[in-house]
Formats: sequence, C-alpha cells, structure tokens
Amino acid sequence: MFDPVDFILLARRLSADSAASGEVPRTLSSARVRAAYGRAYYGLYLAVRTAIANRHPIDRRKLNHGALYTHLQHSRAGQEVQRVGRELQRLYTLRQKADYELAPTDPWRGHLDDAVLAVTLAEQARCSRGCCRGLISAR
Amino acid sequence: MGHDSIRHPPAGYPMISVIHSPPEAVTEEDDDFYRIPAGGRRMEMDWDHVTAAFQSAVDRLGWNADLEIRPEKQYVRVCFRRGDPEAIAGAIGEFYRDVEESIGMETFMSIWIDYSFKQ
Repeated sequence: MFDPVDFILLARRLSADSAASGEVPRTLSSARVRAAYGRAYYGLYLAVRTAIANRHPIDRRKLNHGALYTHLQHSRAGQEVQRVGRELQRLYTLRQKADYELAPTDPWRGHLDDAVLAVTLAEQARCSRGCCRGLISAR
Repeated sequence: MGHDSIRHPPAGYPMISVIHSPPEAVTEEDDDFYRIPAGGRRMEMDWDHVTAAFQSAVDRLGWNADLEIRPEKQYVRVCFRRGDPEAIAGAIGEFYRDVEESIGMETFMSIWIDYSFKQ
C-alpha cells in the first residue's frame, strides 16, 4: 500500500533541489516549489485522513479537505491535534494558490517562489504526520 | 491604508513591525491573507502581550528572525533572515508551546502564524 509520507519526501526533494539549483529560467524553480506544496499537502492530508479512519467508524471519502482541517482545529481538540489542523490548513491554502494562481499577489507571490520556505514546510509536514498517528483518538 | 510602526532593536534582536489596518479591512473578504482558522475565532487580545510572547519565543530559540504583527488581521509573520530549514521545522513545535504557555491556547489558535525567508 502506498505510504503518503512518500509524497512529503518528494516535496522535500523538489524544494531542496529548487533551493540548491538557482536555475534559469526561474519558472522551473517556481514550478518545483509549487509542486512541492501540493505533494506536502496531500502527504499530510492522506496521512491524517487514514489515521482518523483507522480509529473511527468514518467513511474516509467523507473527510474532505476543509472539513478535515476545520474539525482538527476545534477548540475541544487537543493542542497537538489543533496544531496539525493548522499545518494542514496552511498547506491546503498554499496548494490552492500554487495550482490555480498564475499571478499571485503578496504574500503568496513570495511564498510560491520561496524554496527554503517550501523545504521548511515539507519538513514540518513530516513532523505533523508523525504527531497525527498517535494523537487522533476517540473522545 | 493602514499605518505602520517599527521598533528598531539592538543588533541581533528581532525587528518588530506592527502594521495596523483600517476597520473596514477587517470585515471585508481579503484573499491576500489566510482565513483565521479554528472556526473563525476572532477575539480581543492584548497585542503588546502577544508581541512580547512571540519575541520572547524567537529570542529563546535563537532564531535570526524579524516579526511582522498585524493586530486587526490577527496575523503574525516570522521572517527568517537566515537559518537551517530542518532545524527551524524541528523547533516550530517548541516555538508554539512557548507562545501558547504565555498567551493561552484559545488566543494562540486565533492568531494566524505565517513564515517567510529573506530572499
């Protein structure tokens, strides 16, 4: 079975390559960063969704994007769970911008060109993914 | 337009920019910013205390970073001047815990925290 952490590792590699390359044309570097946000998001989203579905009788297809990160940030959730929800929302928003916005305004323009930020957030997604496996438990 | 205030610290300390927005900007849809998470929690808070909490956490972790504070948007950006991405990512949990302990979980979760790196 596919492990979504591989998406996160791919995101890490894409963004690290982009940070190291300093390549011309710059658009290819931006494409790597944009792709990295998308892979990091799906890596974390699928990991969280699987963790929840494995512990609760919930159809994983009903755990859609906005509902998932909103639910995780509910005030009754534990601190670590809320933090995972926030990282999920961050990556979701970045993925939306990365995939659909060709001429983003600030701060998005900066984020979508920032390979070092993409490396950081991919690494943060890996940490969040590690947290979510043990934290999403029945109330 | 909003008005800005910038505190110039001694060398090595974070520079803190506080950027205020006009009241109408708070309620209108603003696609340039993240939506406030956690069910849209908006709350009054002591922004001097919030700023001090973020500054203290940045100092304690030894991050070489500036802070951009936007009270009306409940937004804080940590702008790294430099730093290793893996080390920063590994310390973000500790950073959050530091700030949470100082300002409380509800307040903390009602603030959107953004990151950037100086190009």
